[in-house]
Amino acid sequence: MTIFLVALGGFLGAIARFSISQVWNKPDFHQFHGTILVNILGSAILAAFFLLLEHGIISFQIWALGGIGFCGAFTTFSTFGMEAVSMIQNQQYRSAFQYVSVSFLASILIISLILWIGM
Amino acid sequence: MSIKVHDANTYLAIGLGGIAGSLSRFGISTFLNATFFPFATLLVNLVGCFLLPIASNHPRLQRLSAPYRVAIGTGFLGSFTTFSTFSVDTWQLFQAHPITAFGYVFISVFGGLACAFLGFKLARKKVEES
Repeated sequence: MTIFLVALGGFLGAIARFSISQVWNKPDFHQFHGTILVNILGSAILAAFFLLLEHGIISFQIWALGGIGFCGAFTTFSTFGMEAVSMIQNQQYRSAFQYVSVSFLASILIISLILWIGM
Repeated sequence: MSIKVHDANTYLAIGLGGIAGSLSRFGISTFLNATFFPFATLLVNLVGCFLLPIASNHPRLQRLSAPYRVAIGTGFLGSFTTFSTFSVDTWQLFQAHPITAFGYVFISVFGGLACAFLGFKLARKKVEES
């Protein structure tokens, strides 16, 4: 059952990420606002699921579907790494630095807010 | 590299890749039972960073049709790696061992970039050979 729920979440998460990237990413201009958005938004949603799990409001099954499956697949680290390196290789050092720092700092900040308020 | 196709096959291919990627990630995290340090997340993220530039640029994979390519890159590797678990792991680790949390972020980010860089290099070598 858990495996099925992780699979379903992964199916939906990957499609949702792709849909957002299609609209927001401009690879020809080395702009990846879609990836930044999914990573920050997905981190916030995962923090909310984590909070609900810790408080016993949702079951492990819902965590498997929404947390491990959906948020895990909706957010991506490989694309983050590849896009940052592609900017560095294009000598867009400032954009690469902004891309990495905004993705990381904004997601940590929003997670901290959600978890400090909720815990 | 920018593929703007909105047909149902592409979405289905990405979804199926997403299933395989998520289950592989879940399998690895179950196998590498969580200790205080998130080894499983680190492993999938570094491996995924190395493989994605190869999947996107390797000449043999370029010959596949679009739905297969996006299934491997965007679907499988995109879902195999995860940014949300990385962030929540970092927050949790920071509560217990702040220095370890900094180490985790450092290895994930710079290790991920280094792995992606190596992946690009390897793919470029294959392109030159072909």
